[in-house]
Amino acid sequence: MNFNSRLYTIIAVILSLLFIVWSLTLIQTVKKQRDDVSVNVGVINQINALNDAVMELQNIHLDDKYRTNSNWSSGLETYFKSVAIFREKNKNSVELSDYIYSLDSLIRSAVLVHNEIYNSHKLSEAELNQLETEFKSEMNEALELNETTIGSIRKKLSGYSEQLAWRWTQLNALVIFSCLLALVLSIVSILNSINYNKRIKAMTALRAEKDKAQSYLDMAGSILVVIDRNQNISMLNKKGLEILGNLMEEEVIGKNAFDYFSSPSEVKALKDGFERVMKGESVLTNYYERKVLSRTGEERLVGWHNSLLEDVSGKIMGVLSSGDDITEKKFRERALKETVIKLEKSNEQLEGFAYMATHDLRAPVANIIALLSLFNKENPADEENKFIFGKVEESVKILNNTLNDLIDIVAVNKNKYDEKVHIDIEETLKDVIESIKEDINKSGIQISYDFSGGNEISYPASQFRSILINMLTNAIKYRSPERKPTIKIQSTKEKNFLRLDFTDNGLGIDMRKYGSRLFQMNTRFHAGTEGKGVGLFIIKSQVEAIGGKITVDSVPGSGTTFRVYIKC
Amino acid sequence: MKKIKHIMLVDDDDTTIYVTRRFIEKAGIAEKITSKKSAQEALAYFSDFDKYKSSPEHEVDLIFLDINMPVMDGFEFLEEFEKLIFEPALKKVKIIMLTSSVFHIDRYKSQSFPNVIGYISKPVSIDSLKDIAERYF
Repeated sequence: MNFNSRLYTIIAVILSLLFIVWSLTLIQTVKKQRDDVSVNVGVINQINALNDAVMELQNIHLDDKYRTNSNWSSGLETYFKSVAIFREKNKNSVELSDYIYSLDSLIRSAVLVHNEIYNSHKLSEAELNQLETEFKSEMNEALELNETTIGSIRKKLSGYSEQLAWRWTQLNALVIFSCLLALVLSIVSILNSINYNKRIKAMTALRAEKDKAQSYLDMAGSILVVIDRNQNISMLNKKGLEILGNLMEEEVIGKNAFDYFSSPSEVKALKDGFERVMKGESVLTNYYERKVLSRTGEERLVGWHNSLLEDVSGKIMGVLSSGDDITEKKFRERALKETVIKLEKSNEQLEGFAYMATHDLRAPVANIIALLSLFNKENPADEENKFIFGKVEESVKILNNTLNDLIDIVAVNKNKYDEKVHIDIEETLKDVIESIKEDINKSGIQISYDFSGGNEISYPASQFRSILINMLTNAIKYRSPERKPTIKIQSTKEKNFLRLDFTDNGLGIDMRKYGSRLFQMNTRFHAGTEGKGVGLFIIKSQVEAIGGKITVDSVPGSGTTFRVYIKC
Repeated sequence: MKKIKHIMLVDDDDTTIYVTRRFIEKAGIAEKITSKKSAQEALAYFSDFDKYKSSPEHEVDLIFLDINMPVMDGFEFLEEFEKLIFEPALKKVKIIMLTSSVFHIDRYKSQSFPNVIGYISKPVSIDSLKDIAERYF
């Protein structure tokens, strides 16, 4: 029930009470009047009876005046009876008592006159006439009195009936009004109850919708937050509460959104930015990624999609943001990127491999085919045949070397997990020098070393030998004709690596020009040298596979330093 | 059959030079065959305009150019050579790629250079040599 209903009800109740009181009063009055009326009607009848008695006396007097008195006595008796009855019945009414007294007086006077007439024998005509006149006048007065009294009573009665009619009208009006009032009240209350039921239904439906909407919000896998103009959280769904560290809704509603949903270093900037958007000074960023700090100290990266909330007049009311936890996604993206880079590198290697496989195998084979077709089968003793055969041998050798290199490359990937053993660097070096003694002596290269920085490593034996052989043979291969070739090998501890430096005084490499291609397959930087430039590629692959690295410094015309980093 | 006056072989592999030379001789399509062991040497030869123009002997009609050579490869040579052909004497030098590369891209790449008229996979054959001589000379 609303305010208006209450007012109407109060008014209706007051009116009803008034009506009831009024009706009761009316009914009582009417009842009283009706009693009055019947009393007065009774009185009239009595007066009429008295009147009849008086008239009877009059008649008796006129009839009977000179003869007998017996009728007069009975008449008088009747009269006195009537008077007594009247008196008795009307002893409470002052007026009627007065009336009856008056009447009685008059009658008594008349009776006295009568008596005088009848009891005096010697009356003159004149005296008789006078007495008769007296008698008549008394009697007439009495009759008049009756008439007047009846008249006045009748007047009163007619007044009563007028009043009665009016009171009945009032009563009828009251009844009608009451009925109308009742009708109105019923209608109002029915309407109210309909209204009430409708409102209850609507509220229930609204509540159900609200619950449904809330459950959608909470089912959503994204964070949903509404930030009002004053930067406070006006709505936050379950996911949002979770990411903040499983907070309760009551804790965050009404609090500043940026105190909760950003890392401390960004709070001020975000608040300032928000203010500018609210004022219309800047445009809301549709999407950004921000860190969210939970109560437990956990940091998650969230990608926010933002939209402005405006009211019907276009005034900015706040911001609705939907956020997704992209921490894992970003991590995977990064991991994916790293994998892609690795794959690209690997692909590069494979391409180089493919190139080498095709070209470097093809070339010697092509030569062998050509040479064989030049071979003089008709005359095996042809001088050129000797030359041709020699060339075939050369090509076969190249072919064989290429094959071995290819196998080595494949083997690097397969033998990544060659067993590490304890290695004495100096001992191994001495061994290697012994094994390529011939090339060393032929080139005249001077080898010096200093392993005071570290002489022990844990490394796959064959791979380490490979490194040493490669470095020495490179120094020999790319020695400068202008000076006596030297190579110095030195070990130094650097962080958690042992660094081996191989410094020669050979031709040097233009790092600017060839630096990036140095460790690729199939590249040579100097003409007139043997081999196809695979050694460095293999060495690098092996070293890196084990967690180390190789770097190069070189000055063309001066020399080269290879630095091999071995994890220890 | 008309013989090509001067064919130059540019390849770092002497075996290839030997067999190509012998094949050309057997095909009988050239009067003179010279060779260069590197692209730099070949380039130097053509860059020296004065020397080049000084005698008709020096003029080259056809170059058989290898792709895979150290220091300067076939394509680098072509790029540099392209810069030289404003010199009218060099305009008529024809180049055929002679390579053991299998990659189509090398073929297409070479075709984009002026003066390049063909692409042959090693080893060369006498028939293809004769064919070249007929078609282009």
